[in-house]
Amino acid sequence: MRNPFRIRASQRSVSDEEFVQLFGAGALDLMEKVADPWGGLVFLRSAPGGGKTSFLRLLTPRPLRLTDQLADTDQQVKETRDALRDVGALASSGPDLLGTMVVFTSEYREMAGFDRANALFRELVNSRIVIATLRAVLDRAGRAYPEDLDKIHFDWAPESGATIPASANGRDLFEWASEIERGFYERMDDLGVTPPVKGGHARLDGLKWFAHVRIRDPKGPVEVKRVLLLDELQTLAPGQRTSLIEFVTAAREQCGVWIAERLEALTHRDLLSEGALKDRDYEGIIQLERRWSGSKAKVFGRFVESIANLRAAKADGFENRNFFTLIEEHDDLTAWSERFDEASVKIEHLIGDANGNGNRYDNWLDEGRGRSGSALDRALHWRTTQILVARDQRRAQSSFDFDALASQELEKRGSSATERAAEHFLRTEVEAPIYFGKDVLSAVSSSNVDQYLEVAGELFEEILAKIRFRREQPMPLSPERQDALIRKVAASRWEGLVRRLPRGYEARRLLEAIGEYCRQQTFRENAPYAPGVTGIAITMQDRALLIDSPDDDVRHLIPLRDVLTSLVAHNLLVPKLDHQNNGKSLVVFYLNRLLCVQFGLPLGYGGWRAKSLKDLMHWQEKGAKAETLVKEATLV
Amino acid sequence: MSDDKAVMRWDPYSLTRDAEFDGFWRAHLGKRDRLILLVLGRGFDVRALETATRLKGVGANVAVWLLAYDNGLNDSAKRSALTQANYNGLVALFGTAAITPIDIAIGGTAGETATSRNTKAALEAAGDCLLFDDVVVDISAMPRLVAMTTVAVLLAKLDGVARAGGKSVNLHVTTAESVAADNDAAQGTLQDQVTLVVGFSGQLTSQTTENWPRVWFPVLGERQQARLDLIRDFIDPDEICPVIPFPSRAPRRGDEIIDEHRAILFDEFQIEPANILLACEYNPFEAYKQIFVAMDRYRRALREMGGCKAFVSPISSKLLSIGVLLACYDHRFGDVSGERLDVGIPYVETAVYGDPIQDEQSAYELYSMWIRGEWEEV
Repeated sequence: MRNPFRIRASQRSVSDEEFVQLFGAGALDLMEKVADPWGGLVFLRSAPGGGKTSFLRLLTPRPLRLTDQLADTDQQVKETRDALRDVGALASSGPDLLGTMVVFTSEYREMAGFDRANALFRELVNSRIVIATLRAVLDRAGRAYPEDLDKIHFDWAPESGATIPASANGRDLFEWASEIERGFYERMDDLGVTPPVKGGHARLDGLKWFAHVRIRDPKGPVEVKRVLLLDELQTLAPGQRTSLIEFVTAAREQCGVWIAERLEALTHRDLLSEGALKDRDYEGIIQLERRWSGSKAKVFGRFVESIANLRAAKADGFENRNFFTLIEEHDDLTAWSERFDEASVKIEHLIGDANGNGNRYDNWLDEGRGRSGSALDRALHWRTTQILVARDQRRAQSSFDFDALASQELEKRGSSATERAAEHFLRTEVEAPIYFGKDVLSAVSSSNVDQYLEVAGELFEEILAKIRFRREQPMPLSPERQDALIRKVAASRWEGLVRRLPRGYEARRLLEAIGEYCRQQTFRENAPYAPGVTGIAITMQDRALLIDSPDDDVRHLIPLRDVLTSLVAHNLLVPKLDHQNNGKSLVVFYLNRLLCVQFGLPLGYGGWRAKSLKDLMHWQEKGAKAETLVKEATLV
Repeated sequence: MSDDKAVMRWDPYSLTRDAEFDGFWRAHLGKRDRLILLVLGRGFDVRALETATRLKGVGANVAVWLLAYDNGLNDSAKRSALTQANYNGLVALFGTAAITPIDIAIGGTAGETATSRNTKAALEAAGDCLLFDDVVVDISAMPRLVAMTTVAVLLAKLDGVARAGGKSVNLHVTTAESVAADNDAAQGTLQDQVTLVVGFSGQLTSQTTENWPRVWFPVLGERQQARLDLIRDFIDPDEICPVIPFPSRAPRRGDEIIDEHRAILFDEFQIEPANILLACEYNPFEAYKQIFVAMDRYRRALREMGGCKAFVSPISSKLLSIGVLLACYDHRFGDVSGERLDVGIPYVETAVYGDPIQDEQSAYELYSMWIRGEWEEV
């Protein structure tokens, strides 16, 4: 069987029953800030793989009905049902929503090449809305599609020029829509010279029809809330997308409209304007990665963990095991204690050398020698002490203070951040595993479901192989193997960057330079930005110059602007506002956490360094070599 | 029922291989004066000039449409040098005046999938191929998608003109075929998106026929796991029938291809071994027949479900790719009684090419396929 972590839940081959059982109920937490989900306009946005299509699929009739039916026998489905009731999609009697899903595809963009006025685009969209509604009504009634189309009826009062029939059964509407589709494909598949556009629709009547049409199924009138679910808008040409959104926004019909699209459909202003960064005026927007980050990071962790367990349960041979009990959370100290002890001895000598003929660090050395605990605990203490010595030496040189330091001073100067930096340094130096455990799995996802499943799936594949080989005594996957597999996924993603992004080479060079710089700053011996630097910042003034200026004013900055925008759209750089630096506002671009793995960085947030636009342009041009040039300049 | 079977256009066929090439063209040119249009790619492939050199050798009167590709990325020094050397060789053969450059934007990074449509538009704007008696498309140095689109567009155009009572222009496809050279040239990284050859969408996204069964025929070569995975996700097929090259010059090649892709074919895709089809490696017309018949079997079997969509992916040699194109073209435009299949040709382009490690002395054979024109009218 295919690795269940690699199944996309939204795929056609995944049945609605499977889909409902795979859906993590936590996703519905994201709706808490949406004021009017079934009567207004909602945007659902994310980087690729954020889970948008799955979210919409849940709101369509069959998944809603199945959620209601299966809830009594499946605890996970019950949680989904309860969440859907809370948001009004399910009533105690069943689905209270007619969710109609229209999926856009890249053929629309191809159409834009010859359909300048979007007349054919509107015609096809109208057709698609009608077809999707027919299917939704039959699904809701539990009838077969397309066999039972003649059992449903639609009546509305068309405005002049509208071509959707005023009164028709499902079969008639299906034929009306089929004719449009056949015409579209005949044109698209024509190998001859492209003829001029004729026909098409002047308005997007499908939306008005959907909102107002009186629907009757075999059980009687359909009187539930209606929501039109428009998916994959990033596949449209920019003009098509703009006209569609403008129409939907202006129409204010009596139905809900959800628009799901990838962030790459957005412009630099949409993504990086001051308003966008502050989430101002965006009540109707759910940007998935942003909603999941920050205070909701733990909620996201629980959400993806539930998904992981649901996926694991689907695998042949896995039976009722829990995925996370097979993920080892601790080092094998039997294997590593010798290396940690060696590190402790080495660090002790280094601190002794720093002491020289003086006695400044005698007490700290005594403290280290007297430390009890595991080899790892002792090594961590020594490494922390080493960082504090490095900091002190800088301070001591400038203040001519060479007196012995008390043991209490060691504790006073340390911090949890310093200890985390020390652990990262130690593990890097002895090549012990760094990236392992349940919390790390969640952290490296950067709040993106697909990224989580990609990493977890890699681990699961090896776990499953071990189970099949030694069925009696399944061994948890060791930290060493977890670390290696997570690094493998990070490397694979890094390798694919160039082909996945516009301006791929420039984007990779910029990331290389950022990564190299972050490594340099993180691994400074005094760890001034503990636990590490994982982002760069620009001032809001520079941001305004880059993002808000007319193109003609900043021609030389456009490549940098485009690269930053695409990196943000693909969740490779995560922008966050920060007001803490001497009262000056900055926007920090944190690296995607898998990029942190690629560059050997710690996974926490909070450590960043400010850079100028000039620096970033230099990095974009030179890549990892940029730092060398800077160093050489410094030496001169 | 035999009377429901589709009639195959290229049965019999006209195929000329390597040693026979010069003789065929001497005889062809000997019948009457002919003005020949040679369409070939500007590329780094070591085989790029073989057809041009041979035609020059037999005294053909040749004009050239040179398809020049741009994927928005800088070429490596090695590839640029090889490309320039090929271009210089072409100028030496025919002179600059005989060469018309045709620029085509092809897919690079970032998921642009307009290569096929751009190729069609460029050919429409290139000039009038009806001025010629023979059109020769040399696909040796063309990207797969450009090659298939070029042949499809020209074939459809020339068929249309002849059907309307106009001039009957001969269309030939040539390629210098070498499995080893293909493998050496094939290094590179793929795009993340699947594209469809223009004219062959298979109406994949049609909502009114969404429930029709989808059958996928991947025509397999070496090292195609990534393409298989991407295309499978894109099509979401109900049935998968891998096509393996057999007979082949290396007797075990088909077995090795299956073994190499065993995990993805049997574990992930869960195909039935009985679904594996065979197609001749070195005769594209035999491959065409084998693929055409397999597609037609599904067309007839699934008629009662309203219709069927067939997708054929040419992820093998270029020679087999022509067989794929002919099979799909014949199902779309040929003599098919009853409902036609919706036919699609999904493919994944190379986004970033690697440097070739082709040996200048690599053995290859030149093939010439006469796919429309005088031979059909006797």
